[in-house]
Amino acid sequence: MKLRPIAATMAVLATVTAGACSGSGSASPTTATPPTSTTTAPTTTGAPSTTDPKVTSEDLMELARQSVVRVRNTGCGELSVGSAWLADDGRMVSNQHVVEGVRGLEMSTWDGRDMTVASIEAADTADVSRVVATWPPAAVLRPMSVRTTRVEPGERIAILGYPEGGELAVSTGVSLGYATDLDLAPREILKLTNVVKPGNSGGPAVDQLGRVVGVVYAEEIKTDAALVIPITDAVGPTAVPMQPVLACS
Amino acid sequence: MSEPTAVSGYYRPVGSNDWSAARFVQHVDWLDLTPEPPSTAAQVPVERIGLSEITGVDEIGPQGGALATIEIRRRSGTAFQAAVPPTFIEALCNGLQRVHHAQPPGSIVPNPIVAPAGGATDTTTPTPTEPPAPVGTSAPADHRKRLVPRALAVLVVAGLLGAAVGLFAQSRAQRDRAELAESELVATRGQLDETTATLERTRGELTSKQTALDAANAANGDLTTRVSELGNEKAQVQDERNAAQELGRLGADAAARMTSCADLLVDIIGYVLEEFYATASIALDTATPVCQSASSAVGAFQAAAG
Repeated sequence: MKLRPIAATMAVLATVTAGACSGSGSASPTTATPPTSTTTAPTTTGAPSTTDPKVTSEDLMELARQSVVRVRNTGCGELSVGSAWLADDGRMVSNQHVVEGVRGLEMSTWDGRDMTVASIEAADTADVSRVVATWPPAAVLRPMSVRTTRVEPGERIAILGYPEGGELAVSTGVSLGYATDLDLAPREILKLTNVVKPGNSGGPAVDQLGRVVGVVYAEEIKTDAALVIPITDAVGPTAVPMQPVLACS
Repeated sequence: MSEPTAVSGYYRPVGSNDWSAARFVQHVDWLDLTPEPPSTAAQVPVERIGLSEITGVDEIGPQGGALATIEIRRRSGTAFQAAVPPTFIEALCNGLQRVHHAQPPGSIVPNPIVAPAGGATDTTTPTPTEPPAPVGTSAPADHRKRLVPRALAVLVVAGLLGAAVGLFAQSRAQRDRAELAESELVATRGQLDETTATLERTRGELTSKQTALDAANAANGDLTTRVSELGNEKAQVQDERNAAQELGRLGADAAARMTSCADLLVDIIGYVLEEFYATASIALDTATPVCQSASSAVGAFQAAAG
């Protein structure tokens, strides 16, 4: 399975000296898939309720505003952006490749409120990371609920995030079922039809009730399918072990 | 006891225009009315009318001719008219006075003419009379028998009066209740009108507020979109700032490495001028990696700067 990491890397810093950052380079820039999109513009609605039978795209957008943040990783010679979301344990969840090679990690909400990052940890066996951060009181963030049951093929799934480091957006699609990612040790991953772009990495994939079913981490080059790490690998008692991330120098 | 008086005349039921010949025979206590048949051979029934059944005799026709027209009312409520000789009328009245001896004399006498001349219409009002006592009873018994109906009548009248008074009181109460309900209805209608007007005003206010709310929601949506745009612009600026800072850091690193390289090269040039070739060679070995690193840093900076 050939994968295309979807953490956006700024072109101006794409070719800095290879030795400047130890351990960097796995998130190499690639050509992004042209937008075909189901991406929706932000609109104003009330907060979605998990008791609603199905949430609308406006509800999903409001959910994204309350829980999904933009990640900027200023590495040693690289600057990349991705997405993260607030889990119910108070930590932000994202990808390992979004936070790796970090020299300065910054997070901000959809309306530009900056957060303060305290610590970062990432897994070696899955493309998952967790970040402890604080945010100003005005930036009201709401933890997302998760769904640990399996996603059925054909089920409607939405991806929330900041594609190409731009504005917050919702991409909708359906589940293609589970597959095995040999690059992930091997580990079962979920495939979706959603359109994802660099910058969607670390964003949540949610079901029709707004519950997180996984973490977006890549796009399959052959099929353009979005690849998602099951939520049970990222949070909860079955989550993969993680270690603190060392900053580059 | 006198002999029966028989006369010939005519009779007709009240309301009929046709007179029929008849024979009238007055006995002591009754009157026989025998219609004359079309032929002498035919047998016709004799109608016997008790004088006690007769409640009034009104004279309705002129007495100028041989016959006078009277109307005889019966207790049953029926009446018929008869054209008979005046002498028969007088005898009939005497018989009636005798039968109705409790009545003042003359109460059964023919009344004044009330009908137009020659008319035979029933325009008279029956004169109520007491029922006659049966013939042949003693005076105290008759008196008691007369008292019983009167007492009953008084009781009936009293009962009727009581019922009437009760009905009147009930009617009055019902009328009072109706008036009260009417006043309450008027008040309620007034309140209803006022409430309806208030409802209409409130509905109008609600509509205007809904319109304002829709406008505010639209404006809020626009503002949310604008906030999102501004947040994104801020993020982009921060990206560029960080990129520039990183670029500056790379440039400073390259400059520092170049400075170190230059210092080493100056030292080497000095050693060569003073012909300290061995020292110069050692210094060149030291300067080579420094200058290679400086070259790489400059190359990286140039590449990053575009």
